[in-house]
Amino acid sequence: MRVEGHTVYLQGEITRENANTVLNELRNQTSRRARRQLSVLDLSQVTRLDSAGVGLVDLLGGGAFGRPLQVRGAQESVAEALELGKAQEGVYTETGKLPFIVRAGNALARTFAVVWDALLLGGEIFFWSMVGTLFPGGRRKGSATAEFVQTGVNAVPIVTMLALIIGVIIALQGVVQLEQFGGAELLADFSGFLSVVEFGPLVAAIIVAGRTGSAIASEVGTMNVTDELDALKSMGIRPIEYVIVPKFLAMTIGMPLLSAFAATVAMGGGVAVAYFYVGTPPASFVARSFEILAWTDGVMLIVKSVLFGWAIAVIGSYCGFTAYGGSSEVGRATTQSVVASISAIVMIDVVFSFVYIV
Amino acid sequence: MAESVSAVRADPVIDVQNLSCWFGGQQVLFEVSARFPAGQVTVVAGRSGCGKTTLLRNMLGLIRPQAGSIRVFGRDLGDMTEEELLALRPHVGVLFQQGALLQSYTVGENVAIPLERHTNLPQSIITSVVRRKLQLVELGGTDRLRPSELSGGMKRRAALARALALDPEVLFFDEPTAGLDPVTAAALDRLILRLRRTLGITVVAVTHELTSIRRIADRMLFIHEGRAVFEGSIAEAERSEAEPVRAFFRYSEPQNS
Repeated sequence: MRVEGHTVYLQGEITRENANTVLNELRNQTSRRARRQLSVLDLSQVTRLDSAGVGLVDLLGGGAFGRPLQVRGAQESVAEALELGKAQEGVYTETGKLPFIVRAGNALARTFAVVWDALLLGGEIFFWSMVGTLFPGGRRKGSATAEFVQTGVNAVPIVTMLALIIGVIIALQGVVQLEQFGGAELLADFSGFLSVVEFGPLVAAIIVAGRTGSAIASEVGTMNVTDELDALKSMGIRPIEYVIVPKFLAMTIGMPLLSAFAATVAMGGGVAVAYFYVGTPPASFVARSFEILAWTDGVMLIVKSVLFGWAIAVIGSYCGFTAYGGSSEVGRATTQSVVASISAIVMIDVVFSFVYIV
Repeated sequence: MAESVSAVRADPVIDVQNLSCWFGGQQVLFEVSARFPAGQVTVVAGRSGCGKTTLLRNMLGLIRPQAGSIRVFGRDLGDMTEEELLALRPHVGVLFQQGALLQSYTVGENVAIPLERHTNLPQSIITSVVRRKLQLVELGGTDRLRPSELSGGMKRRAALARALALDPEVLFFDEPTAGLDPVTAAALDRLILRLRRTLGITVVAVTHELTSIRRIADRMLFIHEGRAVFEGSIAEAERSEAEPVRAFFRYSEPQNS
């Protein structure tokens, strides 16, 4: 490699063993200003180019140093190597990078489209669930029960554990704060109430999103990737009716029950803290809690947890239905379903909190 | 490594001597001997389950020869350590059935894998090599797509671009055109011929598609029930007296099926 005037001369064999060295030499031997003046790449002394060599010539010829160099003087074999895989009219044209504002706009539009599609799917699932409740012929016998056992019953141990721990944590933290005002006996107002309106449904929903939502997404996604859904359609079966509706019904029944259970267990944690830390008898803790709670709170718990369950089922199905391609797509869909479900749960919860205040 | 390989690059590139292979107690290959001359397209043909793929896996060093020997570039695969086998890999390109592209990578990243693994080239050169290779297989501009966004024939070509990334001296094809439509298959065959002509690549193709064999093959190795029953030019194969070879040609013609 040497540089004379505005010309770069390459020499000998340029292969993947030395292409890097040549590039570095060129960088080291010339100043930035001199490099910008270069205009010709002379290959007359090059005896052989492998792919990496061709890559180097492409790089310099394509303007790696600011100005595209004019390639000249290649011997026949070298010219042949340069001919192979030369840019041609391809099937695909590379779209250049769009300006930021356009990309941001596109992303926003895509997000809206996704949310809209998911809502439409939700409507469709809801409709077929109504139909499915009245005429259970569209799904396999016992499939809704099996889903209920999987979604609700099998989640009981983990829900028990987490709800109890969270109930204890909330009560402990609460008692420390309340003690400062000499109001430790107000613990029931605080922890019993929060367990029912907030932590019970939330803990249950997050666990169901992680367990069942991801399972729905990966099951439907796999069925989609392996053309099982198309096979169902070709047999005259609606995938939504056959695959999703049992899960949706199980979720509708299972979520409120699981939430109520989680709320009870979390309150149990509060009772334990109140008893051992403050000395409040369990009976008076529970009595006080129910004084604070209105019947609307119970309704709220049920409505909220049903909505959580629907969001999880619809998002899981949506992620599954939109997975296409290969194995990695199923993994992506599963991850997305969990992230989106938990986001949706939190957003629904926020809305409910505002409703509660008003 | 480059010098040592080119120094010993004598005819033939691959020399298989009395190779036998067993799976469990079952013998799959029986003393197969075959030569794969440099710069030629040799087709390994035979019925399904005859041992073609096993022979290919032996030649790639994916299965160690259990009896007999395989010499690649004059060196015995059986004597090579795992490191030496790895060092040989860049000189050999393989196109697996269905392409075997990594689904979680883009097409461009797939082609870049061997370059990143086996060279110290800067990213800028790798990017331009990848672009070249994709253009060579007429997939220019697809580097940011995922394999799942490509059709079957495109996947096969993208995998070919990956197999070509390191300018291999030998290219192995496992059923390159299986499951492709005739037009796409013909295009892939033309590409194979072009690579042989312009780069002097030695090609070993396992296939049983006669149309494809007639188009690309210089030589043919015919395996029947684990034995090499024929080795020679394609014209000789068509005149061969060996019954399995005759049956192969007879049933490959549409009017005789």
